[in-house]
Amino acid sequence: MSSEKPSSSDIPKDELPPKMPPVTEKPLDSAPEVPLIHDATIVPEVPSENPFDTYMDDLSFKLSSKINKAVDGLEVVAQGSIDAATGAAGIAYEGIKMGAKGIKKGIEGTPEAVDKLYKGASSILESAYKGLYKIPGVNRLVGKMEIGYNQFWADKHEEKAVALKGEMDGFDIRIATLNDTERGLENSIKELEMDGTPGAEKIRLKINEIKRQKGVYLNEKAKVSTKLKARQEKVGSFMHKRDEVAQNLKEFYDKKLEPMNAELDKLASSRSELELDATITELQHRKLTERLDVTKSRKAEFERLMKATGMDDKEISKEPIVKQWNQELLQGYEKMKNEKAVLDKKIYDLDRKMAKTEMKANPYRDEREEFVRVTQRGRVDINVPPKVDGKPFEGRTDVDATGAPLPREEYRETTRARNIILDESLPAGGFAGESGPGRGAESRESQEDKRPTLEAFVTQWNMLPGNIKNIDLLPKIDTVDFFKTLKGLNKEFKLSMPEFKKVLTGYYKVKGKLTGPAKTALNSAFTAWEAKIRRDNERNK
Amino acid sequence: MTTNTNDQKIKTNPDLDRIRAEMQKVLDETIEINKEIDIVNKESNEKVAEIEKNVDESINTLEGIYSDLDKAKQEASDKLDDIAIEESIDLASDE
Repeated sequence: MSSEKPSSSDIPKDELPPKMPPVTEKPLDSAPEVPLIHDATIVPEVPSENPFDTYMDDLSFKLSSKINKAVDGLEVVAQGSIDAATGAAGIAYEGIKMGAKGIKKGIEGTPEAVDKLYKGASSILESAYKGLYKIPGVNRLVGKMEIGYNQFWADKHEEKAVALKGEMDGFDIRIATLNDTERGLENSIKELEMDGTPGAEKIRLKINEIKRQKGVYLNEKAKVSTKLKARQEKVGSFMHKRDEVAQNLKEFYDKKLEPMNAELDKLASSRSELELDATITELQHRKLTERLDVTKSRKAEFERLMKATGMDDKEISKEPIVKQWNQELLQGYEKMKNEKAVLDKKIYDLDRKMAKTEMKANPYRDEREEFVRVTQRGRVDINVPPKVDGKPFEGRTDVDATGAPLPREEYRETTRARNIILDESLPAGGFAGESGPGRGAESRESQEDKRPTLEAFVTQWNMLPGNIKNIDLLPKIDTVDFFKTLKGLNKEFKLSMPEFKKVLTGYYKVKGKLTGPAKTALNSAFTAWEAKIRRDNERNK
Repeated sequence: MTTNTNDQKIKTNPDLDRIRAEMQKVLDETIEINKEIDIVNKESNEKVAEIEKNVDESINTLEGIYSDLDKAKQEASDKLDDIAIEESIDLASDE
C-alpha cells in the first residue's frame, strides 16, 4: 500500500498537473464558509456556543489551514490509493514545514485522502483536548501543558510504532520464507546437476527472481525501519518543543515576577502610608472636634450670662458675635465632615484599585509554579509549592468573602466598634495611676488632659517586657523617626490606648515590620498591656 | 441704653461689654481652630494626592507587567496548540 507511493523522480515532467489553485486562508475570528481544502469535502461544523466546541472549531480551522498550506505546495500527480495519498499529504505537510518544498507526493484527484487526514488529525486533537474546556476555572494554559505531558500522545505514538514493527516483522517472515524457498531450489539444482538432468538454468532464473523479491522486501523493511526510528525521534522532538515553550515561559515569568513583586511591595507600602495618614487625620479631627465642642459649650455659657443681663433668646441670636460664632462652629464641623467624606471616598477608591491590582498578581505567581510542576511531572514529586517571593501574600482583612474590599465606611465602623469596646473596658486615662473612678462627672476637656501623651505611650511601649512571643520582631521605636513619620501628631498629642494601637500599627506597617508573627506579637503585647492596666486600676480602687 | 449699628439693635451696658470681650477671645480661638482644620485638611489632601500619584505609577507598571505576561501566555498557548496540531497531523498521516 503505502510502499507504492510515487516519487517525483519517477514521473516524467510533462505528466505533472498544473499547480493547484491557491487556498485562501481565513482569519481565525471569521466563520468558515467554504471548504478549506480546494476540492476536499471538509465542511466545518456550525460554530457552537459551547466554549470547548468553539475552541475546537478554531483549532480545526488552524489544522485545516496547515494542511491546506501543505497541499498548496503539491505539484505531482498522485498515483496511489487513497491510503497512499493520505500518507503523502502528511509527508508533504512535513516537507513544507521543514522547508523541503521539493517533496512532491501527489494527491490530485484524491480529495478524500485530504479529508481523511483532516478528520483523523481532528479526531486525535479533539481526544487530546477533551476535558480542557469542560472544567470551569481550570487554567487553560497549564491544562494545555498537562496535555502535552500526559500519556495520551505517548500511547498514540506507541500504537503507530507497534504497527510499523508489525510491518517489519511481516517482511522478516516473507524474507525467511523466500530464504527457505531459495535454499530448497539450490538443493534441487545440486540434485539435478548430480543426476545430470537438464533444467537447472530454469531454476536459477527462479532463484534470481527470489533474490530480486528479497531485495524489494529488504528495501521496504529498511524504509519501515527508518519510519520507526523517525517516529521514536518525533516523540522526543514534540516533547522537546513543549519543554522549550514551558521553559521559555518560565524564564519570562522569572524575569517579570521580580519587578512585579517589587512593585507590589511599593503598592503595599503606599497602602500602609494611606492607612496611617487616615489614622492621623482622624485623630487630628477628633482633637479639633473636641476643641470645637469646648468652645461651643463656652458659647452656651456666655449666652446664659447674656440672658442674665436681661437679653432674650431672639436678641442673643441677633448678636453679631453670636452669629459669627455659630457660623464658625458650623463651618468647622462641616469642613471636617466634608473632608472625612472626601478622604473616605478617595481612600476607598484607591484601596479598591490597589486590591484589584494586587489580586491580579496571584494567578501569575501560581502559574509559574504550575509550569515547573507540569514540566517536572514524573521526575520530581512536588507538594504545595511556596510562593515565588518566599512570603505569602497578605490578603486584606477588610475584604468580603469574594475578595472585594468592604466599603470604607463599613471597614471603619468595624474598627470603630472595636475601639469603643476597648475604650469602655479601660479607664479613659489608659495608664495606671493616671485615671480613677468618677471621671464621667468631669468635663470633656479635663478628660482629654488625663489621656497620656503620644510620647508617654512610646516610652511605655519601649519599656514593655521582652517575654512576649516574637516581640523582638517589632523593633523599639526610634522617637525621632517615629515623630517624623507621624507628621501631624506631635509628642504632646493626647490619645487613648486603642488610638495608640492604631497609630503604632500604622507606623510598623509603613516601616514594613508588621509581618504575620509580628502582628500577632503586637496584639499580644497590647492584650498584656491592657490586662496590666486593669490589674493596677483594681489595686488603686 | 441701646445703639443702632448696621440696622441691628445692640444693647450696651458694662456687663455686656465685658461678656462680649470675653466672647471675642473664645471666638478668636474658634476661628483659630477653623484655621487649623484647614491646615490639617490641606496636609491630608496633599499626602493623599502624593500617595495617589505613587499608587497610579505602581498600578501602571504592574498593568504593563501583567500585559507582558498575558501576551507571553497567549503566545505559549498558541505554540502549544500548534505543536498539538502538528502532532495530530503527524499521527494521522501514518494511518
